[in-house]
Amino acid sequence: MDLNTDSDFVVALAWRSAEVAAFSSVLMLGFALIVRWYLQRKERLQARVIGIWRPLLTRITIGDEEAPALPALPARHLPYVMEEWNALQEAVRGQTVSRLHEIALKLGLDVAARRIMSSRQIGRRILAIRTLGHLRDESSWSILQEPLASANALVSFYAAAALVQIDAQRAMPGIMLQIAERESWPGEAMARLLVDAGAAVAREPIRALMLSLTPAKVPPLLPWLAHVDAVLGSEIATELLHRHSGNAEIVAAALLVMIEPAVLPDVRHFANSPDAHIRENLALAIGHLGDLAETELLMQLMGDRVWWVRYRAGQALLKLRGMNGEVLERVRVRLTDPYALDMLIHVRAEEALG
Amino acid sequence: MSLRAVLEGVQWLFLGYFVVLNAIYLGLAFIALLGLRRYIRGASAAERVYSHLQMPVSMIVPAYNEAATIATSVRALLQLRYQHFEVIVVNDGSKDDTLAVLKREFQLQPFPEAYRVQLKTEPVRGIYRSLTHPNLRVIDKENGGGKADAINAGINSARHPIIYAGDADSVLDPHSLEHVVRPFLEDPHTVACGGTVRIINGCTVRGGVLEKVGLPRNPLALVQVVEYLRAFLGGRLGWSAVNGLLIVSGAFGVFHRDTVVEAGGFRADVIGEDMELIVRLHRRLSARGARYRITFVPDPVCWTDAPEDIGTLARQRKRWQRGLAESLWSNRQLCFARGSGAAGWFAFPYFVMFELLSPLIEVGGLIVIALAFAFGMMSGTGFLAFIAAAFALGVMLSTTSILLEELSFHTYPKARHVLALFVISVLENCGYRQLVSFWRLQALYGWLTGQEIKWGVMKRKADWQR
Repeated sequence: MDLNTDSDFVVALAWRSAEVAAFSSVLMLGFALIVRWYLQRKERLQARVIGIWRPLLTRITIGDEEAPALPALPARHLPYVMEEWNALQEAVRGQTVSRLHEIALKLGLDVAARRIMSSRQIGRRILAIRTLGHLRDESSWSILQEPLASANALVSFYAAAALVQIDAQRAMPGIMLQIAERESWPGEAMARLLVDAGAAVAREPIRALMLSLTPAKVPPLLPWLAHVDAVLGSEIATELLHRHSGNAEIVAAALLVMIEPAVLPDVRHFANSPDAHIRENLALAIGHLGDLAETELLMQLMGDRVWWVRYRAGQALLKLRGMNGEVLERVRVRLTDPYALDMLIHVRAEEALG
Repeated sequence: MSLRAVLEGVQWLFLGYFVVLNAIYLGLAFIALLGLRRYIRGASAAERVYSHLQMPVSMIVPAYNEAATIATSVRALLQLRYQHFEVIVVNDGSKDDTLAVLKREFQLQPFPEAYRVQLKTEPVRGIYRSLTHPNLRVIDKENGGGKADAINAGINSARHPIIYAGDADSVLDPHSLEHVVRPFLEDPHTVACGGTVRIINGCTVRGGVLEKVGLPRNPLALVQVVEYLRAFLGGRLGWSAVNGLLIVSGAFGVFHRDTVVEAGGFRADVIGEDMELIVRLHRRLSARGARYRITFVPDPVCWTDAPEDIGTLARQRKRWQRGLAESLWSNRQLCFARGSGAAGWFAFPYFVMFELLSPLIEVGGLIVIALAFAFGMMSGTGFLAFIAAAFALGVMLSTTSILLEELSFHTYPKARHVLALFVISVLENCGYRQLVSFWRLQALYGWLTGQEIKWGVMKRKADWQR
């Protein structure tokens, strides 16, 4: 490397790098300013389109006979109008839904949505899926099968929701298969989806699914599926406890969805479980279901070595049916474990503060 | 070996370093661009699905001598748009009226909490609960162990599975918790998540809530706006995409509580406790073959005050460099460890070569080029060519971050803000970057020779507060 001459390759390379970098910087700055201008233009267009369509769609959906006729819908306005239409669909009920359907068909939103389904942009695909779901069009059934199996959890979840809207009963096997195979659907959203499908439709598929899953898949699903139908959840939990009483995660999950006080005698022995999560959930279950007969067991749990078990046991003690200040005072006098005593003071102070 | 041969060898070394460094920067920027596009496109749909799902969060806010601002900061936290969260303020033995202000403003009452010690800390003097805000508690502890010890005390008292650790004087976006908790919902193996931190100087804040975004007039603070953009939108997003993120900012970090407790909490004996914890989590979790994710959301979630005077800035940068050195050294087993993935095989060596040792190379490189020129071993054109290349590549990397910002959040409202940032990205190469390298070199030398580092007084103007 002879840097003492101006013709050296490395010097030339350095100059060229500087030129390329400087040129790229100016180019990127220009691009950044163009992006800004483009986005501002897009925002203005969006505001203008929404300014026209939002009041119009609202007037038509509430049955305003003096509402003006639908204007032409240019392709570049379509995503904004489609988004507005979906937002209205998700906000209204009854007669207005059918008016919105008529509008969609007049505007050709169904055809447009099918076209957008092949978009590579996830946001646009989801918009199309939502539209097809709201339209409840049987002919979209096969188109929605591919996104249902998509690796993207959001695309798949929206496709499931759309299929439920079209035909909940028919959608159940596909949805149960997805629940069994993927872990990526958010539990609460999944529970809402099944509640929307209707407990009557979802009940048996859920029972069949939960009793056929491998043990590792049961615990995260159980609380959410029990949310769809509490009685069903409790029944499944009882069954699972019999089948998998040695599986700590299943036992812990099952304890939380029990709603029958009659099960308490069968689960009390879990107070001696080596798994702290089980002992904690047992305390929670006793708090929901128990009466003063459980006081001794909770006093034992309040001396547990794990803080959360002591805390839940303390909270459960206050919640027991028939609990009052006099009984609590007797409990306080009998508590010899300093940790348990501390916890009783803690939960009583917490209750007093509200 | 002649001096000429030595200088030539050193020049090749610097050249190679320079090429590899810039290639990595550009690669990270490219990965960040792809990640950002994917994130932005899926964000609105994700928000709709996840909006009802909010894991409960314990927000831990250490406070030391913050009497003047603590009430506003806590009030702002309590106004965050999030359903389930508690705020735990840890008064770290303040010598001023921090505790008295909190007691007065939030009607604190002593609370007989069954405090559990999972992480050892300085003694706790008392725990208080607010009568006006049931989700606010204050832990009063003895001073010692710094911010790390205070956060550990907060972790001991935290009830929720996710903990936030941040600074009392940072301003949070009202939706910040929603953004950073989402990775925990999307992937249950997430153990830590950071978010983009921005500079608040030049903005308007009212009642602890960001009202108007602007750029600072102070040139030092202005340069830091570009620096933060480069660090967060370029570097961290890129590393996060390959699970190689080695730092989550101390101003805003969200963690899986039990994982932090299991790892031993924040270390009180290091300067950069935030980075040290993240590197330690990588080391421990990868060593036992655990499936885990340490991630980053590009949303601007937190706004922090940048130093506006040379002295404070120098102290801050020296502390950062010292923290970096300590974090890497105390977790050196992570480097090239089996099963450590991108964190151990790419990020760790990168941080050693291009972050820890970079001031040595940068300052050394400048000296060698100057010497070569002075001794007539390099022509004037050669000298200028190298300086121009370093300068132009520096500008290009900053411009990439400005572009990434424009493609994603376009936080700065006016086109003149973008132009100002570009001008600054040019000017920062004329002295500022070299000065920072020099401070970092000083810190590196101090660490190698075992010199003690002092915090010093952090001067804050905070004129953005209304």
